[in-house]
Amino acid sequence: MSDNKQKVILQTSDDEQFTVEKIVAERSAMIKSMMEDLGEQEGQAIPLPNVSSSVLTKILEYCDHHKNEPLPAADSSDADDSRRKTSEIGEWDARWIQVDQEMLFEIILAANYLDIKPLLDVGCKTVANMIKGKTPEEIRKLFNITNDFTPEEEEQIRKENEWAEE
Amino acid sequence: MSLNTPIPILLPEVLSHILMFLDTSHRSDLASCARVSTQFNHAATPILYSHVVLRSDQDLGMLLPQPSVQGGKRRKDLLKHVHFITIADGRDRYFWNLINLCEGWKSTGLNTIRIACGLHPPPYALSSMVNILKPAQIIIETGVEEVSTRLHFTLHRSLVFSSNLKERVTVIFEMGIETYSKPLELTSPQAFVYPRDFSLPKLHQVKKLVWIFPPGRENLYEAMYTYLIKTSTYLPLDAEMILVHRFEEIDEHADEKAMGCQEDLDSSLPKSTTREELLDAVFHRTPPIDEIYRGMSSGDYIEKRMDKIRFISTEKYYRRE
Repeated sequence: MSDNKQKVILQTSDDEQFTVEKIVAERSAMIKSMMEDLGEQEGQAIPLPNVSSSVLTKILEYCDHHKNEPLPAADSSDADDSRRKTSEIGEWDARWIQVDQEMLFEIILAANYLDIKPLLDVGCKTVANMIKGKTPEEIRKLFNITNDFTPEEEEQIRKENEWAEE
Repeated sequence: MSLNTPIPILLPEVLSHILMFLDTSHRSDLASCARVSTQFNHAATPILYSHVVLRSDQDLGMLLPQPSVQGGKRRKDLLKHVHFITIADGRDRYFWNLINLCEGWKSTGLNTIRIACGLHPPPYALSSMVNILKPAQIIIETGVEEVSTRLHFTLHRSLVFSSNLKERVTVIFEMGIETYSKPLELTSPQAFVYPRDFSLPKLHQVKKLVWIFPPGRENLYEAMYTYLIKTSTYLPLDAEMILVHRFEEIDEHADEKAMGCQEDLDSSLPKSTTREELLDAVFHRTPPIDEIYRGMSSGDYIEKRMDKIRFISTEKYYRRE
């Protein structure tokens, strides 16, 4: 198991370097495949231009906690189906994801970029839970979105989806 | 709660991923999302329409022909996303309307029709739906065994007579707490048929015939006589016959019931109270046609035939692997 003690250097968008256990870094399918491509080049930092150091610190906490769990199968659609079944979040994850909204969105984006599927799910479930029970106007506020529909268009959409209302 | 900066989270793939978790029980949330903005609409619509639930007359509005060309195209685009329909209204009229509206619906991705109305949908409704929408799977949830058994007939008839079915149709019955759930796979030579509606000459090709008798007890023996006489002699000798019903439950009243239906039957038939007597009477009365009989003595025939007949109870049948 000496392999697992190997370290990897990750470099964030704000030029900070993190030395991380390989097994932790491998939670990210993107980093994993980059390491495979780079081979065993000691001391070579892997650049992560889309991730800031504050977000990476947070994400590494998650990866470290889950480092001994089996990795999800790459691009398996079956796994996708079972993942979407439940919108429940594990106890540790739920506590870990209690961050401000800006951080939450940055975590989701980073999880998408780094390709950490279970983390992306945790983030997306959290946002989905925030949407539940809200009106369109409240959702716009939540995401800071401008309504680009005319009142007539919005009314038409409301009508065509009437069957789905409670 | 709101942020002052625009949010980068609205990458289309990320937004779809978020809304995916609103799926199933949060249809009204998805409907709200569809009204938020164009981008939200594009992400929410395919998820919302992937499973359509029809509960009332109002819900059928989604299938109504649109007055404008643009509206018609829009409706078509929406229905393209549908791969699962749940029908939760069992009135005859509802099914009629639904079918009429389905006519113009060239469904491409429809996979499953789930009927969860607790009632018996009219036979024409099922066969029309199967023929028009061509689902790969039908799930029936009624919670009432009797209803499901009746649906079973209807459905099998529909399936057998559908000329352009997908190759395999799976029928799953889900009946509340006392679940008898068994996928019935209909493949052409092994079709499960309901004899009353199956043209007799076709029985030559049948490898396996399953008769499922309704739990309604009063006409059971009558039904058995009629169906056995009508069909058994046309069946190839090596074909397996499975008779499914609830012998154990009718046994205590068997005599009574046999008496009760006697007047409807040919009086030359003996009053049979056990299954062996019944079959014996049937085969002696109507000897198999020559083509199958092939010069065998009727005694030999009956023996061979009996070997291939199995009686199983409804419960066992549905629980069978």
